[in-house]
Amino acid sequence: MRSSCSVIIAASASAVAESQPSDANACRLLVRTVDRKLIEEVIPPRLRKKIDRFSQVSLLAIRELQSQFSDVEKNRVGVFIGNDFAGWNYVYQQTVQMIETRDPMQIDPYVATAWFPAAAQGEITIAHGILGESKTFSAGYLGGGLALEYAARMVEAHALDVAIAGGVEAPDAPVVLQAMAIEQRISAEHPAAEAVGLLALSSSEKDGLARMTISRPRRSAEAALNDVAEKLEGATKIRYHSASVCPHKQDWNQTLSQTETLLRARFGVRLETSVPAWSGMDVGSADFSLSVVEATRSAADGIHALVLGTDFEGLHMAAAITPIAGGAF
Amino acid sequence: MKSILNNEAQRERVVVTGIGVVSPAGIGLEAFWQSILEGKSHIREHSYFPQAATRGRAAGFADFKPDTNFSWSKPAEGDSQDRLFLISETAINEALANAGINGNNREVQMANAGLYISSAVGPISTMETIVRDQMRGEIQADSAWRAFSFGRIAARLAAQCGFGGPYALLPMGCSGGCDAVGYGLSAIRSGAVDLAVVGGFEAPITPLVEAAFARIRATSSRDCPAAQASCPFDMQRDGFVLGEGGSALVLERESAALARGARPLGVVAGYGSVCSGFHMTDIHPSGEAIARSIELSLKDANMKMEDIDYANLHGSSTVMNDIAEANALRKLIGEGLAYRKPVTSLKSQIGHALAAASSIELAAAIMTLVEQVIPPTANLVEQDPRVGLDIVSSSPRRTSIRAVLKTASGFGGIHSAVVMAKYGV
Repeated sequence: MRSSCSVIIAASASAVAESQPSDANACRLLVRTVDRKLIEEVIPPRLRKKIDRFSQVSLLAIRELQSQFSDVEKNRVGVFIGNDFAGWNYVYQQTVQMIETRDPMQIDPYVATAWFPAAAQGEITIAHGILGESKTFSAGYLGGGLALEYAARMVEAHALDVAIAGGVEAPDAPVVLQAMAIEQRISAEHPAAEAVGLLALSSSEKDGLARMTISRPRRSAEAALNDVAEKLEGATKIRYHSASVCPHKQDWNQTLSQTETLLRARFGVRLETSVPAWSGMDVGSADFSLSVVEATRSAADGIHALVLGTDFEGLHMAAAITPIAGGAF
Repeated sequence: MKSILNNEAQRERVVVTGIGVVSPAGIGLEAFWQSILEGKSHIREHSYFPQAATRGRAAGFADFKPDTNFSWSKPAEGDSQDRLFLISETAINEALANAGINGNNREVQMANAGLYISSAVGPISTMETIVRDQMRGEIQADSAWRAFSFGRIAARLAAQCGFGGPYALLPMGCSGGCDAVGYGLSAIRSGAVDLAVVGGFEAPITPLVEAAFARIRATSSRDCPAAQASCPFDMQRDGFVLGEGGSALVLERESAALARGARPLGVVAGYGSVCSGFHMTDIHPSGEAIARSIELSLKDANMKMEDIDYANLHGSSTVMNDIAEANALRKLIGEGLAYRKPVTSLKSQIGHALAAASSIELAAAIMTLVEQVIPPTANLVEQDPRVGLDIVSSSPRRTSIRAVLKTASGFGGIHSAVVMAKYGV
């Protein structure tokens, strides 16, 4: 099998709001955060103190998907999350204190469960009593793509009835922002952003928003595209959702323009490029899944959509998001 | 739609053809195996906070050179020179050589090979070093900063070890070694790759990790010689001891392995994984979630509990784990037979290397199938009567073993199990 098919039954994306750059910290220019009020409305203060922001925004996003699995047997539901930078917002200051004082008591008892990338998966399953197989993936911008691919494989094989999948990033910690800035993937003009995109997948077309055909992780954009291309045959218009990367990152921009050239050659005038809502921001692991969320909206409007993603290290994935009406599954 | 995953008739066996190990008990599969048969502890006294009341008080170090452990004063290691990378690379290269994938043919055989690995804390030593340097204003804009991206671990290793196919890093908790096997198994069964290297790797002995586990009293703190601190199933156990290392397994379809003249060491018969939905660190004493993961792995293997001749347990040396894990097994085996089921915990010898633990334990489990010997559990003096299982201790046990169950539990309420079967049965 070169791809996995599933039905998207719900999609959820976080709201990204600009933070004020006035708190005298240069790092503020490099990051945009989700409106705290939204999080305060849904997560009780006691839980907020125990978990990192990447888990908080994940819990925020999953609320919109809750109705899709609330009546499903919980061992038939699984959660698949992409995350690359873990929970340094929670841990950074404590780590600095610990190193300064060489005192382990500077580390609070929740660090052990707040920081690691699988924390969001754990918090979601516990908050919603989800009991089925669940996994977390790290692959740069493609973490959400790997999560969606494995989730689709699980529902296609009927190992799960509903799979929640996507990516999340909350890199608001000085050390992570600096790491991203040194690599030139973020700048004041192209800051990092807290972001999450989650989708609910099912094998049943009932109440489906769109079909998702997702490629295997491949070593070229062309190979990934070939896995899903037949799902786009006959479409009069193909809306292409690409990643958004910093203009200073020349090699990455070159990779993206090569991909676009490939698509133009393949689809000609049928291709329409879509500027993402988070254009100008680095959403990390959430990139691929946020594109799928937007593509789901396109498909719900009857437009065939194509998502292509890469980790810029050599891994590529493609997803064809197509309208439910018409065409064989 | 017909599923390949669930269709027994279409499914070909996936076999293990190569193993690589880096562990406190030895570097390299042969050294490791001979060492663990002796049933000795490889834990030594260690703390980054020797004066503190709350601290980790022992750890299992792999005798791995260069000495790339975290130091309060040493500069950060550059890209791909972090201890985690070196441990992983060593184990992966040994596994490939062990599988006969080397020399001139290596590039051809690796053209579409997948690399699926797990690490719970990533290159944490380098990350902590950078936090230290940044806070002192001693920032160097070098490749060490790449350590903050977990995904880079798999990408860099795939490049360094010559994998031409896909790669993935599963940053799971302490079930990671089993989960990497499960993911690789699925990739081969679904036809995504013909050959995969799977493994769990960890270099977690750092101040932050020591402090984080000590603060929740997950690690042993009782006053005893370091070598006795990790004592799963014993009345004295009071927490785990950090370890490090990793193991890599080469997986491929049986027909492909035989066609290229490789010797299958064992069969990856089944994988199962569930969430407890219960608590980030606690396990319900009933062991219900652990039992579900085992049942799924048996179903995937098309086996029953009575087909399992030996269980290589998570056995982390915490009271909570021992009770829950024993209850899960006793429920599945049946009370009357459970006390005769041989089980062990390798963590008694080498400590708990987080996501790498179950990976190293799987390497031991496959060697048990090959050699038909169970390496003993160390430090079992007075068995907790609530653990009503036959714990192999003191000396290795030679017996007939057709299938081994490997269990693992991780933070976030994840429970995973793998069934390995003897090849040729």
